[in-house]
Amino acid sequence: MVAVNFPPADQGFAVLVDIDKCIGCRACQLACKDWNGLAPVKTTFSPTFTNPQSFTAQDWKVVFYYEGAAKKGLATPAGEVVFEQVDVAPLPAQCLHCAAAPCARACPSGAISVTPEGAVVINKDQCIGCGFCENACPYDVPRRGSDGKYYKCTFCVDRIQNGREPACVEVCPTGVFTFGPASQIVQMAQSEAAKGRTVYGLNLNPYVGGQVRWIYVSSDRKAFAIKQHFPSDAVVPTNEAREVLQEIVPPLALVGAVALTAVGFASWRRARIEEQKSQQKQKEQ
Amino acid sequence: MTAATTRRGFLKISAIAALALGLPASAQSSLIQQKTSWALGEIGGKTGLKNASVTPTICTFCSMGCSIDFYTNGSDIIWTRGSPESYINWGALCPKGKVAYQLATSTERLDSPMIRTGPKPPAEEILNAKTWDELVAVIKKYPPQWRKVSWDEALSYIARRLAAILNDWRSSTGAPAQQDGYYYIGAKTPVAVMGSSILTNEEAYLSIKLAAFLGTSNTDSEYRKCHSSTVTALALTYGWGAETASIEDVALADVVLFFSNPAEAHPLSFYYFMKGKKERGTILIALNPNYSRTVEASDIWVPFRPGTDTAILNYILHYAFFERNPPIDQLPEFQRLMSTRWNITQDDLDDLKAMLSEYDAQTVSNITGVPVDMLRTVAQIYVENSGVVTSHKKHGVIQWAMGMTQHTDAVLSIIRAAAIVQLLLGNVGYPGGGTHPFRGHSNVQGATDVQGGGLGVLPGYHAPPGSPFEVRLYQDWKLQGMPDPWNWEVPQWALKSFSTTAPSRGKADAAKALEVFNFYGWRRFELLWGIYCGTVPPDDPVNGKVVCDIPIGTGASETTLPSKIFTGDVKAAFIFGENPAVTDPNIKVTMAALASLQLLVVSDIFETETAWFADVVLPGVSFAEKEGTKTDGNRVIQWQWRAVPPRGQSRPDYWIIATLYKYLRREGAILLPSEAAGVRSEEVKFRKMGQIVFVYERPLRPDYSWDYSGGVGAAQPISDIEAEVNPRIINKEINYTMLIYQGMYDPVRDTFTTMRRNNALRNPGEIDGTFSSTFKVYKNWGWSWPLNVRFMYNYDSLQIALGHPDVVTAAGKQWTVTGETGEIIDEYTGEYRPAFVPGHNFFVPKAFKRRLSGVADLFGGVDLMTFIRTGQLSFPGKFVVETDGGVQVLDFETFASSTGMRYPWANDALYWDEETMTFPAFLKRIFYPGVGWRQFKPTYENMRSLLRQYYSQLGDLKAATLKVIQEMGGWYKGYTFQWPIHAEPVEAPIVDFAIQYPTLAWLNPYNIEVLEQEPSILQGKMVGVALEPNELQAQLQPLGITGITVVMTTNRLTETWHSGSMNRRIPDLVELVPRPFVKIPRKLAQQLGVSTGDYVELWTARGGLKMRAYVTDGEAYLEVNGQDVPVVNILWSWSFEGPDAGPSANFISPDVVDPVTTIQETKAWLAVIRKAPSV
Ligand code: SF4
Ligand code: SF4
Repeated sequence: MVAVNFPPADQGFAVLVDIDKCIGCRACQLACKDWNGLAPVKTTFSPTFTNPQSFTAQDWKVVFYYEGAAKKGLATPAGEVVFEQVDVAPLPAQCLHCAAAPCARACPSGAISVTPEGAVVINKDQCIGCGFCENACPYDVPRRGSDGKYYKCTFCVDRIQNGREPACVEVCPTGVFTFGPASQIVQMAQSEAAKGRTVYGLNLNPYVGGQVRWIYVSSDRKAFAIKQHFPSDAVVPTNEAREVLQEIVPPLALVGAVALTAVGFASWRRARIEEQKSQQKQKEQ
Repeated sequence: MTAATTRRGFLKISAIAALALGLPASAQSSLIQQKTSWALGEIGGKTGLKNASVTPTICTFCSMGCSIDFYTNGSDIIWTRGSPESYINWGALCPKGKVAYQLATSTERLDSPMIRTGPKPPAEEILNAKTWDELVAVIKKYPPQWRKVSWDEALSYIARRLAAILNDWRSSTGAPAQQDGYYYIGAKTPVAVMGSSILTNEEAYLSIKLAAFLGTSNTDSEYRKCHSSTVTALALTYGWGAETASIEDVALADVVLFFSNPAEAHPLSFYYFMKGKKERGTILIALNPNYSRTVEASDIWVPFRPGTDTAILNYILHYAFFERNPPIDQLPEFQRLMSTRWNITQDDLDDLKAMLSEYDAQTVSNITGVPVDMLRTVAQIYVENSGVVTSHKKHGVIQWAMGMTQHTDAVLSIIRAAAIVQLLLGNVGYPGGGTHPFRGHSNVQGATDVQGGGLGVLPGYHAPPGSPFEVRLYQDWKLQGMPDPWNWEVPQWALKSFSTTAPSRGKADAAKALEVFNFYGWRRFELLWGIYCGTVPPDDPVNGKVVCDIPIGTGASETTLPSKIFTGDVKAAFIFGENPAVTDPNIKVTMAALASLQLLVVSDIFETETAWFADVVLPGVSFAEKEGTKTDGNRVIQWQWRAVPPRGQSRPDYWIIATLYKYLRREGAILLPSEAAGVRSEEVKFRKMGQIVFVYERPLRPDYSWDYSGGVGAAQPISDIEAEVNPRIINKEINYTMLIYQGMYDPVRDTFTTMRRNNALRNPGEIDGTFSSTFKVYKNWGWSWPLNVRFMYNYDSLQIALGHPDVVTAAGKQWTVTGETGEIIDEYTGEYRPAFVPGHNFFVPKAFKRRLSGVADLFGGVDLMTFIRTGQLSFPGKFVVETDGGVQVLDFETFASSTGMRYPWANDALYWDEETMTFPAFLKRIFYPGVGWRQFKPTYENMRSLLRQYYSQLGDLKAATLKVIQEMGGWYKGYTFQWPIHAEPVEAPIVDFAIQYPTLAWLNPYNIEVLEQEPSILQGKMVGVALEPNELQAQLQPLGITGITVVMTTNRLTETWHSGSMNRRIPDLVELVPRPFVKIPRKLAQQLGVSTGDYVELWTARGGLKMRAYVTDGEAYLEVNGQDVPVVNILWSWSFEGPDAGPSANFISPDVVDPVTTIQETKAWLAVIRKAPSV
């Protein structure tokens, strides 16, 4: 794999997202729009309550709502009583800022910088709108704007580089997000995992650098949201194959490039869409 | 490279080339200079932050009282954020708070006064609409066609039209002249003044002051429709109709029962609920038919049938008394509290238990639809974590909002039940044991306080004179030297009309205390408003003429106003910042009524649905464009600074109302009774040692009382607008008119205590220092009523927590305290001393003592009107002292130097001792004359069996009901309602239950009007009620509507707000929830063949509407008494105006009301649902 200059995963910043504390208020979703000057988007009725139903060029943070079944235990004087009930879990989502961001590796124009803080940032001025980042992202994050360029969460790079936590972290009423030095956050996540809580974001596919900088934790009760939301494997196989190809057969790169740009790109994209669909289906099952 | 090829262009070209070559980014690094550092705010265009000024404001949405910092540059708002120092929100905000600034920047804001030129939609046409779409078509046919005018033209126009209406009325009725004097009967004056819980205290106060000057008691506000039932039920039980403790309390609870949805309606409250969960494992139990976001965050969901809260609460006590071993009444702590703090005897308790014995788990499960095991688990957890059971190691909180309050049995049953559960379980008055109704609007508690809760009640809950007799009694009280209840002797001549067990001096009972509390208020208004209320001559209360500028008697409420308009009793209305055309139930009726007014004046920041029916619309300002105080839901009063100047021609309502007064005066719309009587001043006289002593002459200066211009010291006006009408002067006036708000201005130090933004806890030794540091209560932030008490009624919580009393040093003395005392300025030293020693208790400060009883006028006779405006202290009043040598009349200096009492002008020398704290909680409060439960039981059985008999004979519950009322001479005839019993909503899903647990609605004749569709304009229209499913189906049959009958309840979301007039104009919020929908249970959806997103129709006795269905397992589909009862939840914050319009839920909600406070029953009613035939 070609190395873009990624800071080590235990350097820079990270965030622990404890969805047990989340009341689904979406202040984070609007704080993100507000800080980044993102225009309102016209939406319609959402069957899942999530709105817009996924990221857009103007919505870099979206709270997803998942309905599931849960076991709820209550401490009574006579011991624990368990009720099985429906449950709904909100999951505030944004770019996960992969430790080794595949979007940054994929960007042919070098528009995606990775800062020493670990923020993966698309530079609008350099973006050529090719969509490689979107195709490379296992979390479906970068979105094409009406100007043809791609947009996504910047980790509030213009805040974290100036002594402030990200806007969504600051606004959250219940302290869902803990922002801090990556080493500490990773340690916290590990100790949550040791307590038996579900953790997403560590020990991932090397495709994303093995871990991401926005790490999710939840109790058993709310874990269904994490399972429904995140792909079972943090990888985009078609893109992974392409990367492997580039790396192991440098002399063929030129041929590969021509093939990809001329014909291959279209089919690659189709394959990628298929792949996303089947992942989506898996999630729904 | 050509000139046109910029560096950026070059980069693009090279990138495209690289793309063609398939080169990865790393391979191109030599070509590309990557950006790796950013300036603060660079991405979203907020680089101006560095040089911005920061102003704290208080959020305008819910009642949490979050602070929002505005970063501004002149009138430009660069950014807003939660104030990091606020102990309420610690830098966070909910989504509404986050984008609240857009109310100040919205391009849809009204920027000029406007006069209507178009015709109004005719009432008949409105009332004929059977569907929402028909209604909108009618309304839109008659657009207002506004003409923009200047303020001068708008205000002159209003004044001329109102003067004509009132002068007509005065000349036809002779008012204010009456047989025995001069006064207005407030309900008869044909003007109504409404609004609003979104105004600041200063604005809401002025609106009620204006109403009083107009001579009307037809005053009300949004609180009627949200928590009037809470206010009344709690005030009658504990003494004050407010949340008992500030928000820190909920983090000290071990269990919380949510009968509401604070995660959505009050998101920041969850900071403290989650704190409790983290620190002590608080168990959160959410009772709600809907799987709200509060349920998501709670430990368990208890779906139950809307309107059956009483049954659940009664079962909790049933468990405590009958299932638990030992029963709680055998616990020593129960017995201690019963003998010291509740006014019940063993016999009363037996009566209560007799009632509770009927609420066993199976019965309650049948009523509510909650399985027995779940009910029992909830009761066990709640009781076992209570104060009486754990000796105050643990406590439970009951938290509620509209889900409890909007029912026809809210006051008499539901909220009374909550209040009683909290008392008997030893929770109230102990940290972590609060009774927490969460109020809605940012200043709804404040508006309630400064407007006395409406109906013509005076600021600070001083009831207006109920009759000329009461004014005579008041005059006699003045002659006695304005004594406290213990020094008041009820004159012989009054005893036949005023009943007390302690008429003579030296003793007091609740009747005396509550009456003196009212008198005391009237005196404050006389002094600050420059008016008169009493007899002429003043020394002859029995035979003199009654002259009273305060309107006599109570008036119409907001929910009953339409009927008053239809009958012509109200012809003109002012509505400040409120939108009843959306928020009233059965809004077709409200719209028709608004359209029938001769004059409707609306002030608001947007063209609301209510404004659509107005004659004149006045542009108000958003919260960020004005200053003043707001009282959050738990009584903490905070200052709101002005962040930006008003937009366009818009003006704060304080400016609007005070300026309007001048125009009304100029045009002769206002005529005070004292003026009609020719009274120009008051001769203040005391009766002393059998003789009448002249104390001083007080000139009447009503117009001066409306002059709020200028301002000195801390009250320097902040801009030209405030130089004309200065809210800081109004704030000082409130400080002096309202006993409960006394202390929000400190006249000794010339500071506004509400401006304090100090989040440090107090230290032991300071006033309430141990309390503050032990329970983590932020007492140095703002001010709280009463007298900065945060956790009310906590008489001995500190003693119990510490195991010994605490000692405080203040005002040069040591004080032994056992609970939270609050603080008051000491009349001798001018320093603060503990107020309620040893701790705050029920009904104080309603019951108080006054060192100046019989000695001087209030506040030592200082000229308060001048003082609050200029800071000059002068004492026209004198001090009357009895000495061995007879009665002496002293001036202030002489009195002050002989007694050392230099600061009576700051606190009126009020104090509280053991005697003042002896009033226990009114556990056995009676609402109606009659007997207790056991004696009533046979009548109750008789009433039920008659109802059953007539229903089976007539097949018509309406007819059967009216027949029972006629035959028994009333409804529930003879029950005092001292104990709460389950009663069905007016529209009941199961006819058997409607008979078994008859609704309480018919206790109030207004509801019978609704039942019979009176007044006559409503006859034959779709505006009534259907008492049970068969009746509804029969009503809909002629329209060809059939479907499944469901129980309806209404709901709003985090993203929506009330009438929607604000959130529907904030595009960011619209993005999250565009257009309304109904939540329906999946099982119902399957029966209907409806998938999520499909349209359904809902039909009621009021008509029908169409909305999308949100299908979920998170909506209750209950089994009640063996029968299927699906619940459908409708979002209600929409209507026909603005970019995000949609059907209004209140188009189909019923306008039957609670018999005591007339709050509407919008949380439990009936509809028939079907899949919409076409979209
Ligand atoms: S602001 Fe916090 S509580 Fe609200 S949705 Fe976002 S993460 Fe959840
Ligand atoms: S709406 Fe309520 S919770 Fe939200 S920011 Fe405003 S005051 Fe705070």
